[in-house]
Amino acid sequence: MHEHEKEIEDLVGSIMAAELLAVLATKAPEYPYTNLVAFAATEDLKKLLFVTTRSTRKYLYLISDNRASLLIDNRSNSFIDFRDAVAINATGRVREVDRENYPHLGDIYLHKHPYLQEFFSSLSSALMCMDVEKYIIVRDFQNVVELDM
Amino acid sequence: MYPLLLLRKEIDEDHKALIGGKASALWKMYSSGLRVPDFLVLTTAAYERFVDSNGLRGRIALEFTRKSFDEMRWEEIWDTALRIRNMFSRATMPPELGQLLISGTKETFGTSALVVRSSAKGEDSANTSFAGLHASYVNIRGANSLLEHVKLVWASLWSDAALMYRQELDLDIEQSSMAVIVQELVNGERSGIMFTASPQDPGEMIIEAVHGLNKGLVDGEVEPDRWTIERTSGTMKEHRAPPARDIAVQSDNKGTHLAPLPKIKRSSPPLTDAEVHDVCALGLQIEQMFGCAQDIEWTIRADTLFLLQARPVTTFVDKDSNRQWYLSLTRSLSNLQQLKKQIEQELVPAMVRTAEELEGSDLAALKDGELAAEIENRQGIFNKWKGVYWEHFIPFAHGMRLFGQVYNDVIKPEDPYEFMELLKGEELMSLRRNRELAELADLMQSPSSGLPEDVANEFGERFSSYLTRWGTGDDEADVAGLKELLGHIGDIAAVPGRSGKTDVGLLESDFLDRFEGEEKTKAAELLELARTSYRMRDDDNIYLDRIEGQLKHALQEGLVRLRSKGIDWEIGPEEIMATLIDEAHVPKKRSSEIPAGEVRSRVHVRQVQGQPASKGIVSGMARVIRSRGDLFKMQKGEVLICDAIEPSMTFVVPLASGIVERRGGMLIHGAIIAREYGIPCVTGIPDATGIINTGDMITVDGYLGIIVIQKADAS
Repeated sequence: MHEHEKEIEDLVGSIMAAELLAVLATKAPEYPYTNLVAFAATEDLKKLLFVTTRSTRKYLYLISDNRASLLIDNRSNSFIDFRDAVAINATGRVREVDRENYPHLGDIYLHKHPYLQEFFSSLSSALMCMDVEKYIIVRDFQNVVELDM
Repeated sequence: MYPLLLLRKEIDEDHKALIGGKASALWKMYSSGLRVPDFLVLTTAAYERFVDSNGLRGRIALEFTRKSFDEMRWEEIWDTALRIRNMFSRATMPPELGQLLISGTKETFGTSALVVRSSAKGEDSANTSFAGLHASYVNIRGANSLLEHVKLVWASLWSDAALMYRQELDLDIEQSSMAVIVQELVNGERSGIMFTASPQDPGEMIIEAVHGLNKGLVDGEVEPDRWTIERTSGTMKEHRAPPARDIAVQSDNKGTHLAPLPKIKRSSPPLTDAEVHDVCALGLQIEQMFGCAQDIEWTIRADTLFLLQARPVTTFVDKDSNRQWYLSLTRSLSNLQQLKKQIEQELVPAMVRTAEELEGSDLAALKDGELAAEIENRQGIFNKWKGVYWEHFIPFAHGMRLFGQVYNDVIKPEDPYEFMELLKGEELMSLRRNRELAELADLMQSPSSGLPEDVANEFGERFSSYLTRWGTGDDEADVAGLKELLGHIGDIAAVPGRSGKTDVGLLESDFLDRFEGEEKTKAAELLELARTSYRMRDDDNIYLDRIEGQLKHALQEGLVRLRSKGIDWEIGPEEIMATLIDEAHVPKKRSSEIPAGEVRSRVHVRQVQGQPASKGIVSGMARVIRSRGDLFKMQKGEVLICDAIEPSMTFVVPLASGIVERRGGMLIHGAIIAREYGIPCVTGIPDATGIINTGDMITVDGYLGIIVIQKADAS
């Protein structure tokens, strides 16, 4: 693997592991629609998982158009963020996971968010998976690189 | 809440962290009954109040995001420090803080002249006790001047030298802070420093002393008398007098100046032998008080010795010779004026003479062995001048920087590089060269089908003269490439496209009007010096290029001879010489210099920050220069992407709509040329020629120093 590529993958991996919440952007009929979701990443970073109930607008919007973005960042809400914070935008397509056939994806999610067991197990909840096509990483306020998946 | 200001009598042990290392040492000496000029301290809490009320921490943090310091060249570090200094200078002193300082100063010192000194946190350890990283100002008078100089001392927490030593100093935006000592100026008749243990030999004490104020000694402008004393016995081992004791630093209405020393004092050292022993005894007493060897500054007025500061003799050995070399580039006005004289009157004429002598010799008449010797001779000449370039011309570039700093301190411009407007417009040699090239392009394109004989002859003569005078050498590929370029470039810009928005005359008079009397004359001299420094930043490269061109010319002659003997592969200078000397020698093939193109990766760089070197924003196709041949493929309107704009490349600049350089800095050659032509330019983009490919769409934002890359295959 290219050295720079490994450095970027390691950076993305460490932030995916450390951060609990992401901003999900979906395509709504009039304006983009955003939510906070508790997410988890697979080890190869190719999949990002989150849970939503099927009655939510985000679920509805994802059913009608599965293209979405997730923003994950490690800001601390201080001026030092302009130097140190990293923001990662993951883009890809989102689908609902067949939990019976892919139980390991549920395990990954619950391993990171064990306190969401009840929410996760509810029959009204759906485990969603983004197949990541690209990560866009912003560092040092203005430096941007893309990582193809 | 921590106190913002402490008078000398108010300080106690608990205040050490608030008053910084230097003030703590002063207070300790004062508390022990030693004679220290009266002082007060603006604490680190005052620094914090100032930076927070002006939002400076966030702005410094943004400066720190521009690029990792480890990747910065020294020029970029200087640029960063200049921008931070300007931020501090333009920031407003919180009214309650300013009032507190003014009333405290009036109460303590009345209308006396003052010294304003840095006292950074943690400065008192032997590991971080470096001289010259932070600022001190002598002979400050009046409330406004005091407030301005306090801001400059605070700014020096982030000086270029401090940024260089950021790791050793543990420099940190959140934690680092600076107290300021305001001290009564003691107008000493004799001053000096003392090391209670010499850094070179801990068994010896060193005393250096000058007539007048200490500033001359500390700044290196006045050569001191130097005594070496054995610590254990107190025996004087050596007294070394300077070659001449003819000048001294004295205070005047607005600061200090170098003045001739009265004849009567020239023959006598600043200290008698008895006084040397007294200073030694005092030094040992101070050493005992602090528990380690001390570096002490003192001054004597009316036979009374005052202690100005004491700090541990640093135990730090700097193994980074680059940093030491960089710090040596900071020169005083008088030193730069001497350098200017030397460059203009000796070095440049000698360089031109050297080039002309070489141009006059007939290489074709030499036998092979003689040619090899001539190549070696020319290599030696070129290396000698390259050494001169680094030793004299590079430090002379500090003239621009010194002017920029003075300009910013008095004008406080919104744009910290406004001062460059006053330097532009000098007749740079590379612009003259480009104008000639434009005329040649016109000649070549006059008729639609082939050149008439007379025009062809004229072109041939002028082209040949161009190559000789501008040291382009006569590398066949270069000459052919240049001809081809002239054929297709069309209306190359003969005259730089100036924005015309700035009234330079107004800027100049506004600057000079801030000074009066002798100060005004000095300011005008500084501007004149900076203009020469600016011009020389470009011209010196061309003078050197002309000499290098003659080396290349000899190598080319050798190569042509070897080709005629069937050696048609790429070979380097050493192999050319070896083969010319020994016909039986089979030269080794030169390894390829051209780096491979982009390594296929899943990572694509999309946006990068560098230095905003020339204002403007433009988008265009990239032309990446990975080898010299790429230069000649340049099309009008493309964005020039290169490692560094060398003087020999300047001819393609007028074709470019934007410039991106790996080498960083606002005052480097490429940035100067870009500004002259009014072309947006961003410098300091790491691995620029690796992350960008010819054909990519590039946006160059010369306002913010950002480039955006749209890959050719990603649109």
